[in-house]
Amino acid sequence: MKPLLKVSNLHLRFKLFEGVSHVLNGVSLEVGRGERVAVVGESGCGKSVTLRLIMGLVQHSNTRVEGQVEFDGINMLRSSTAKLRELRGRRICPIFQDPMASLNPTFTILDQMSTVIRRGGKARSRQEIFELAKSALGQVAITDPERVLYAYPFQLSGGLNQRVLIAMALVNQPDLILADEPGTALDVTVQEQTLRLMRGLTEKQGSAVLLITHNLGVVREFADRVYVMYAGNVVEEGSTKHIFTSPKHPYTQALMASVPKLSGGQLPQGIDGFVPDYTKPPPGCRFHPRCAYAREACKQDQPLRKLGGGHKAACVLYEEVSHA
Amino acid sequence: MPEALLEVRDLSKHYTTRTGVVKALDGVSLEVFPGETLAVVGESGLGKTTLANLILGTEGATGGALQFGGQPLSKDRALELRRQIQYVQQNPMTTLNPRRTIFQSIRVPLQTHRIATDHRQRAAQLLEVVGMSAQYLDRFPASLSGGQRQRVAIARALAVEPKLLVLDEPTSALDVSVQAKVLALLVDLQKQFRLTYIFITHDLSVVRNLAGRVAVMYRRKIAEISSTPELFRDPEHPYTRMLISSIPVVSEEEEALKPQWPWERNLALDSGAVSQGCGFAPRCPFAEKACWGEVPPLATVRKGHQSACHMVSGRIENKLEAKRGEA
Repeated sequence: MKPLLKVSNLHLRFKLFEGVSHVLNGVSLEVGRGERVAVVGESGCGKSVTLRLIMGLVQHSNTRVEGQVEFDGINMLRSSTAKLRELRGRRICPIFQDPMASLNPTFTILDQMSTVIRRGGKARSRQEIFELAKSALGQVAITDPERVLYAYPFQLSGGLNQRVLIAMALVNQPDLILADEPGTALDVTVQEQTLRLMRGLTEKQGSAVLLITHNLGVVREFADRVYVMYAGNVVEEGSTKHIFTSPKHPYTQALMASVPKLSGGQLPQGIDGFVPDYTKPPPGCRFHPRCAYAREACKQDQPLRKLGGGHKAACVLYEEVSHA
Repeated sequence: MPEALLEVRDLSKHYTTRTGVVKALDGVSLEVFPGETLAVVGESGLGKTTLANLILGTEGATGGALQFGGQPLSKDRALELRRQIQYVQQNPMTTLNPRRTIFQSIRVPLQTHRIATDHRQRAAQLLEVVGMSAQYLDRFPASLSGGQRQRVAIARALAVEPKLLVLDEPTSALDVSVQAKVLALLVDLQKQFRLTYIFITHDLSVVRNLAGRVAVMYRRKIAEISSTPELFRDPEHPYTRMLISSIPVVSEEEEALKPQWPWERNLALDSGAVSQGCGFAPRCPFAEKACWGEVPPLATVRKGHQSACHMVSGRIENKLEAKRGEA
């Protein structure tokens, strides 16, 4: 079956004063229908910009994009703005990181939800829109939707605003939800509930989710499949189970080892060195200057090597494995 | 028991606003012993930072008292007392003045406290202590990464040889791989300079690895206070239990360590219900009439472990205990 979203060999370069910054270096990923996929990586690895490219939100004169983004057979990078607009808000919906910054403080929740609902075209009259908005809020476990609908975002807590955003993203029953660190601005108990809601509702509606986060714990609890990014490359991909029980790429291993453990004991080690400068990235594997297993061959580009069961890692260590 | 370095007695901070009195902190008592790390955890808006502000003297308390090394600690305090308590802020992007070089930033506390050494030499030495080379002295913060800036902030706090460091979410803005490095540095410095830490955070995984004791705050009060292993093994307060059960973890083994929480997490959180008694009552699945009407006292569970819950003090039946018995 064809995937819902297919990103192939995506390159992104920004022309800066310092030179050309090669931010995405051939990113490929797929999201199937109804699948929950996570992209995990540290700040500056290119995960958010990938999401923006998918939605067609990176359009500056100093950018150069190569590669393909295909959503349900539609070439997103070659489509007109009008065409993209038709998709956004109806078939592709975003949930952004900071709920306070994503909602307009000068309009009530009802105003903002109405705009979204009108786009979806499922309700026309005011009464219909109101009812739909009310039931959408009810779905995200808001017990008094009427009060929330007539409130302004600043009158509501962060957790409530986050749930409003989820309700907005889900109300038009999109095929794909792009979630950029949802709930990280929130407290753990609220974050846990947010993820639970997102999981339950997307399952019910059959929407696919592409979740972007730096929190490995969140990935483990939410996603079916994971892409690990480092410095503009996907370095490892596989099922959540594979990635968390036997991470293969040295970066993934180091990242996992950096997470403080609930069992206590030894403090984690962290990773030495820095994320490379994208205007002068190291040749080949971009992680090799920080890697304990680095060797001469690492200065060549490393393709994602198949390790069986859909698990792939872009590391020279698995050369023999993939030949076998 | 050694003598406490810092004693907080029944501390309150109420703000009077046009619409009424806002209680930011209400009757908090705790002790911090020399050389230990006390973590103060809780979710946003529960009074953690207010507590830090009062300890640092940037605000005055409206009730209760602070004692530091046996001396009373008010908002207006002697320079010498101020020197002994230093602060590391949360956001490394805003904690350093962008128009000052690293040297100029580190020099400020040395000048304020009139420490007569060669400031440049001392600054270079401090950078070395936090694992940075002296070549950064004349750089501006803009050219430093988040982790490096946080190291500079720590160096600046250490410049005047404090006894107590108040760390307000020192690593929450950093990536995990960098966070690990900064935490390791903090542990190392604590040993090296016999520092005492008050570590304010919402990240319980970090607390588990770093702190000897934990004070859990909920709604401007202390909900539970205990040694770290005991708190994670046997959380007595329903809020603590819910909090620990919410931590996203990365392995099955850790999943097994989390207490179970089969109940709703946000019960009536958005209904705006206000409890006259326990602040957690609107979210607590075990809340009874007594919880809404009476403030639960901080009751002793075991030596060094106290919890402010009517189920612990025996005022109402302990349903958590029953649940634990079944498991």
